[in-house]
Amino acid sequence: MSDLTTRIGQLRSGALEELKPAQALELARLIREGGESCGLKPLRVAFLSSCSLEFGDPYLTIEGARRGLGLDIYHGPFAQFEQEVADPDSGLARFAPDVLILVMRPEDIDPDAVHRYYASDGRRFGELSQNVIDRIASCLRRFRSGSRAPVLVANFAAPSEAPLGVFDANVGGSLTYALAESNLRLREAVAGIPEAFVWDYCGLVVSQGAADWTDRRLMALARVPVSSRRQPVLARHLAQTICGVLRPPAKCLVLDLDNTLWGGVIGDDGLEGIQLGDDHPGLAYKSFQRAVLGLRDRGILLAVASKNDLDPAKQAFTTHPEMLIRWDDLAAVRIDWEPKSENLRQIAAELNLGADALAFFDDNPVEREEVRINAPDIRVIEVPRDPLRWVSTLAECGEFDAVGLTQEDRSRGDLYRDERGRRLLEGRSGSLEEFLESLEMRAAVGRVDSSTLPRLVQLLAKTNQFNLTTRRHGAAEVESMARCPDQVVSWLRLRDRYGDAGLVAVGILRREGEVAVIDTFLMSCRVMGRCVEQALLARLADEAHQLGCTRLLGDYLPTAKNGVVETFYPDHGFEPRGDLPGGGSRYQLDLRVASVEWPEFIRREDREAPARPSARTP
Amino acid sequence: MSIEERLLAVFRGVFGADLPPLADQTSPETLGGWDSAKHLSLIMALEAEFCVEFDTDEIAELTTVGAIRQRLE
Repeated sequence: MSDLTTRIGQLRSGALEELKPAQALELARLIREGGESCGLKPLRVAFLSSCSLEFGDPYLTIEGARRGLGLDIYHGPFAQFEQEVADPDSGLARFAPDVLILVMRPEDIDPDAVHRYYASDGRRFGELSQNVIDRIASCLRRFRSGSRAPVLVANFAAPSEAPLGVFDANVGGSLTYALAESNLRLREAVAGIPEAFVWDYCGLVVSQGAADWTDRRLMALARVPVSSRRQPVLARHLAQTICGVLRPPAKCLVLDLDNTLWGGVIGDDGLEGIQLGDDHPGLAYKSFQRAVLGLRDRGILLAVASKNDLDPAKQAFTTHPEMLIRWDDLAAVRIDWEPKSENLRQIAAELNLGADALAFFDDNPVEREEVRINAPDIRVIEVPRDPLRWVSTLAECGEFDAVGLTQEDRSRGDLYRDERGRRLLEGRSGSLEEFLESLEMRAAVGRVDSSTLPRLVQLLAKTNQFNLTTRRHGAAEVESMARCPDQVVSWLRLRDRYGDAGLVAVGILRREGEVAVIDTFLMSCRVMGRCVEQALLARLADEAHQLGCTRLLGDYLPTAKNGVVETFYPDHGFEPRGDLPGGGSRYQLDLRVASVEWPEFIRREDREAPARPSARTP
Repeated sequence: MSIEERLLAVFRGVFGADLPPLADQTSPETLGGWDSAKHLSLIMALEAEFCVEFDTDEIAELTTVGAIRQRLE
């Protein structure tokens, strides 16, 4: 048993790549017999097929074990689709699969429609493919009524010999195009069923080569459609698809730098010495960077964990002409001499992700092992020695396979970029004061006018958390307040070293004799924790003075969302003045004996400074 | 490894480690589990191990250990 544990470990770390058939059969048998006691997670996989796929079971068993799964495999009786999904007593129903694979090949159902395509000018094939799609859809609906297990449906692959030979793709309406069109219709039919997905069998056959795909002897003797040589890659592709459906993809790719993003060691070889460019050997690294950016384009966050000195490493990003990944593309960075497992954990925390949402890519097997041992939840990608293979590695590792793609996925990298600099500094600074200082904040304050009114009203309407009274004054109301000599509508605009945060806080005062009542006090939660609220409060105290008031009065009106400001007034020196009849509390600051200081980390900009328009939302 | 050792390794892989000694007469009739599906697995494993390719007729005829030995020598 310990021998099997070792071999499964070798499988998972990629040490067992190429197995001869006899070795594969033997290993698969050992896994079937003892896999569960080696920690493999049981998974029941059922096939319904128009051809014979049992031949691939040993390879699928191995590929399952490589991914931590102990597969139990069921094959329904040959070409019995409807019977198996409909009969509550069928083998399939009794097996109760966790995953169902449907393989209905048009050429198995009606070989003439495929191989004598022009006997009916393709009409018969069109009817056949539609019939197959309808049967598949009906089987899916039937199966779904009794099981929530995901279903994978193989799409249609072209036969190795097309009717028009090498020129099939030159002719409109040829089998090549009819198949492509059938696959589109199949995709639509499958998309209509929950938890049903296309298994891109067609893409697999194309990528491997249709000519070598089938062994005519196996097909003739046992209806096995895939040659012995191609069984391992078939199993790998199917196992990767199954895992992609069952397991959420990694959300962040954490990269090493030296000998991973470029060849050589930046600290030793310098900017001119590292390998990165359009010729060998730099091409491998540049191609890898391009593939990494391809992941970023579809929503995978990028991060760096490298044992390096920060300055030369960062310089490679900012000044090396061949560098495709920009410093700004990184959502988190740890460049120091700490253990990688620790830095990966910190990156996960910084990005608010679980450790299992991180995939780690490092050329150094020692670092990979360190992470495997000390941070076992992190997905460590097995990296082959030759960097030219890494583009395939990213695709084949399966860690980034997602069954859908949203607009949010596509822009996620940018969303994270804006916040990164601040968090990076927060992580590095010794104290909160140093952090606040390093932000180089500048605030301007002023009274509402026509240019600031729209944004101000938007904040009044949308701000829920940092909002003391949650009064949703509209534009007309605010305009009339601004005209009234007893009222002041103030705003605060913030900039820092990373850019313009825009108009982020609003305060409204109303004079009642000697008392200035704070009608509204709110702030965008994007700038919480940076003393910005204190700046606005200091501004309101000034305004109260100018109104001739001696006391500043503020109410806290609780809502479901504004608990964060419950102690806002007492925190800033206000005295409690009792509870309010409708709920909430009243506080007062006596301006004759107390004051609110402008925070020392925020430079006060000229009140009349031209205000740049901002379209940001809270 | 000798041909004989490699042959034994292939049979063990296909039929399991607790295999009785192989004789020339060993055949689907005498070896449990040597059915038509296992026969194809055996043939494919032999082809990969010995870098040969059998034609379809040979596949049907190589149904004793003796015939296989003869074909591989």
